[in-house]
Amino acid sequence: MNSSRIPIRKEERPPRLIDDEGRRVDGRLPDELRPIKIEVGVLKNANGSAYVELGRNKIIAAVYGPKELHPKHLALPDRAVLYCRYHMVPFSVMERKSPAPSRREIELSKVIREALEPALFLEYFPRTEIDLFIEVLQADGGTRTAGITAASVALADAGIPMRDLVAAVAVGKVEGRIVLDLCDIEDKYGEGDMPVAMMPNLGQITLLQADGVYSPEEIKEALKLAMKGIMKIYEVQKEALKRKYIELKREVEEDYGKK
Amino acid sequence: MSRRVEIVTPGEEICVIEEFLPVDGAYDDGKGKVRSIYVGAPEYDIGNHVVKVRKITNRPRLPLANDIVFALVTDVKDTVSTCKIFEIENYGRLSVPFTGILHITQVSTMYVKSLYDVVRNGDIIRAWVLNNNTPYLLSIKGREYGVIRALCSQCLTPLLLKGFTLYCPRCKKEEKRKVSFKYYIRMR
Repeated sequence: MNSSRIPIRKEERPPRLIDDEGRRVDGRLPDELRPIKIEVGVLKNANGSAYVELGRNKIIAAVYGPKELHPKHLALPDRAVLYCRYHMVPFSVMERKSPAPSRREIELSKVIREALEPALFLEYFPRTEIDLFIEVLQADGGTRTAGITAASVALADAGIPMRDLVAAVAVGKVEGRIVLDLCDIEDKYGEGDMPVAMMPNLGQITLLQADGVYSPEEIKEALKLAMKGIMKIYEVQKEALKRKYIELKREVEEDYGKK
Repeated sequence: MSRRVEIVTPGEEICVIEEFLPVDGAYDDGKGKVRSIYVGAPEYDIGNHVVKVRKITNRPRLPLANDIVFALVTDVKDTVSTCKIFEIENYGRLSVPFTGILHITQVSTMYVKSLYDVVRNGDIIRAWVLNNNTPYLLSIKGREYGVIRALCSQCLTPLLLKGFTLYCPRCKKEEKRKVSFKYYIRMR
């Protein structure tokens, strides 16, 4: 059977990606983020975990470790190895995705690992391994950046020493305008996509990729916009971590008060 | 003075380097600011001008020097034995076991000819940790350290402590180990 005859189910390109009032396909302004929600400690069995909803993206991240690395010849004598797996579940996209790791997922795992490594004190745990799993439950553009956001919260929840949290967001070019936090349609039919990850307190960029063509001014504008989005995401991350621990502290104090 | 907050997240500024020096759970970012490395509560020591961040969770917990641990013996040779550390006393189970090494020099203060007289495969030992890195070096010198559970080498029946020796109730045979006084079943 000729498989190319099977029609592919996909969302159709809307006639305009930005309307006359400057609104985007989902009604957002160019510098507006999608609604974001972060929960900490959603998994009982992992050492640390986080759940992130960014618009229609749903991502869960879990951390194990530090633990002994097997096979032992892969262990590093002076620091821990960060093992990162970014994975999309089969029902995360419209067409069923094969659960086997694709070329894209393997590459994104590496990219995410390199975006998080500068933020961690890996030298505190020589000859060990820290496992990080990022599962994309539902994808709608910008999953790698939302994955980094979730992963850094999960690492902080696991008590891994960190220089700073890492927050990430994508900026891009749609119909000649620089916009923040691209959704799937904008990513597919827009002119460019630029994921940026940053350590917000230290002001250091840990991930910067781009496709599309930009002028130097556009790059500056895009980075400025990305930093604005990252600061907003960082506030949500911080608030989520504090919310969990304030609850925990209250519980402990109540128990202590009873005794 | 900097603002005082109850809980900080990694990377959050807790003071400047002129006020307090970071000792534990905090670091100097190289630009004169002291930042937290954990989610935790900062504790300022005004007398010594140092600050530390107390972690709110007790994770991650790795074995440290002087910790008392429980380990399963997985391999025995004449002079060295390998164990899996699965629990830290006063903390609980580790989610993943760590490798421990027990050398014949760390078994007793007296001369020991062979490690086969001290531990056997499948024994659970109570030991203390000598170093801070993997592979962890273990010691069972002392009365409270040593084998706390052993199986008969012929029939795998749990051995009973009879006086100072171990006794198999099924084979009616005695076995040799370095037994901790915390051995889990004694003969009545």
